[in-house]
Amino acid sequence: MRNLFKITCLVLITLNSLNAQRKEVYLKSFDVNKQTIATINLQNISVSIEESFDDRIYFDYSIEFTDYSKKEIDDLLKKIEVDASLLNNYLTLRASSESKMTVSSFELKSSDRNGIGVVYEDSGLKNKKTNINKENVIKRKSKESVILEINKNEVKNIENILSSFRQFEASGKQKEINVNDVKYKRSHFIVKIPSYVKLIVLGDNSNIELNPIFENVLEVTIENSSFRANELLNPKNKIKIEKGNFMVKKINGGDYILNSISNGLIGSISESKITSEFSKIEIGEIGKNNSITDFNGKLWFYDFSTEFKNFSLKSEYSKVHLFYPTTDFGLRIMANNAVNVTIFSKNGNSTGGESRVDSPYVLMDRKAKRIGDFSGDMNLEMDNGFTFLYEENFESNKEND
Amino acid sequence: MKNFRKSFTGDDFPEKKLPEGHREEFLTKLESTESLLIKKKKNNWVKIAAALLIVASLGFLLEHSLNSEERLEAEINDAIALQLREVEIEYITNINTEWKNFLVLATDEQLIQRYRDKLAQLDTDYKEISKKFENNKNNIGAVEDIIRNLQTRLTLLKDIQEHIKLLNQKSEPNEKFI
Repeated sequence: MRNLFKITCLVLITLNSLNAQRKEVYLKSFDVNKQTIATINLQNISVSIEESFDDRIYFDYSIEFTDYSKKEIDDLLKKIEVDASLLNNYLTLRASSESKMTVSSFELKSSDRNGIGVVYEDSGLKNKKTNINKENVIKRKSKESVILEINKNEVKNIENILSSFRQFEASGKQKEINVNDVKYKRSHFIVKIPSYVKLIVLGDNSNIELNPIFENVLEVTIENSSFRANELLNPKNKIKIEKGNFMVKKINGGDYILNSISNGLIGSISESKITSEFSKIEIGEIGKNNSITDFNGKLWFYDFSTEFKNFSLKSEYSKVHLFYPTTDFGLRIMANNAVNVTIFSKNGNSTGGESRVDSPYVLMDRKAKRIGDFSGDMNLEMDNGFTFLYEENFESNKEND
Repeated sequence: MKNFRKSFTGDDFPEKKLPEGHREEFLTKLESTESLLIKKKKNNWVKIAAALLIVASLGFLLEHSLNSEERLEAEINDAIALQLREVEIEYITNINTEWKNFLVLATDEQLIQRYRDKLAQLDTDYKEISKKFENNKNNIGAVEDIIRNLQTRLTLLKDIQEHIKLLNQKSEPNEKFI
């Protein structure tokens, strides 16, 4: 009986090691100094950037495969190319894959493909319904709750990922996917970089995560990609994202070009300039001296810091939702062409606007009341857009636009 | 120590005579054993042949099952490609209709140009993704990207028309907050 137990344990351990295996893709480190500029060029790759506490940059890339055959693993690894070189203080890493290497991905095992079994992204289902309800209700979000949303977008475990997909059977029926019916892989690409090295990130179809409080000079130019960061604190930062997601918990300084961002979440922002178009951006707290120029976007400003000093927004064909600060402030709206402003208050709503004017026109001028602490002035220039203003006492409302 | 050699005497090992005709009997037995060995050798060849046959059959079955799986995979890919084509045609028809509606509704030339540029850019992306899908029809990611691209174009056109219509409805002249 004891022997049987031992044999069973041995079989289980062997099976486990056969099912899940971690393969090293690239492992290298380089000595760097304060003159070093690091460039990371990614195509179809997910990378997580951490802080290095010695004078070295580390590249550590491995992939964890569960239930993949040796041939499948070999084929996949052959399609990934990683190379790094250091020349005259310029360190360049190039990493590419033929297919997109997300942090976590899965596919059905071939034996479970039941005729024409196809996995497709859940198109209605639970999460989306909840989101629709959430979007329909307008209420102020705190900076903390925006940060919480950013955290929720972190990589989920395989069960959570599977919950938003369905298996399509030959009969046309859909069913939930069991974790035992899929094989999956997790990519672990960690780049460790000292806080004094300037970092340039170029990418297409990639995911970039910056986990440390990032004081380095950062230049990012990415397309069809997702960018998530903790804190970006360098005023020389230049970030350009074309199509994708942009989520940062705290921004202090820098220029940001955000085009076609489907999920833009910023916990708090100060001393920064955003130029955006065709994007949806939510900001938890507007801090000191920010300016935004937007075309055809959906913008949400949930709160202002007690010393935001100056906030300017130029928008064309945009929908702007702005929650009044709780401290004293001034607000001036210049209108051009057709504009519409609605003020939501606990005591009722009021709407105003212009259909056509020949030149910019002062549509609204709310002077500071000079009672209590003064936090700053807002200057909004609107062209062919909607602005929804929510007074301090406003609680929540159904969205009607 | 006891000497065992002394324990046995000559009487303990009486001399034994071989029976008559033992030589002939031995030769007969030897012949029969040889014939058995030859039979065994023949049997081995049969076993090896049978084993080869089983291995060959298994190989055939395995190959056959692999081919079936490949065929199934190809059928699935063709089915996906066909479904995708239908969806694409429907989306593109709708996009073209919405673009025409937009041109009728919009009066701002700059806005029209920005949308023309944006849609052209999305169309270029779409062609690139379609190429990826053509090269690998098992690429579910490319299918998702194609659908997302078409959805984005259609949503953009519908949203901007909605925006213009609402502005035209809601903005009353000379109504202001000052």
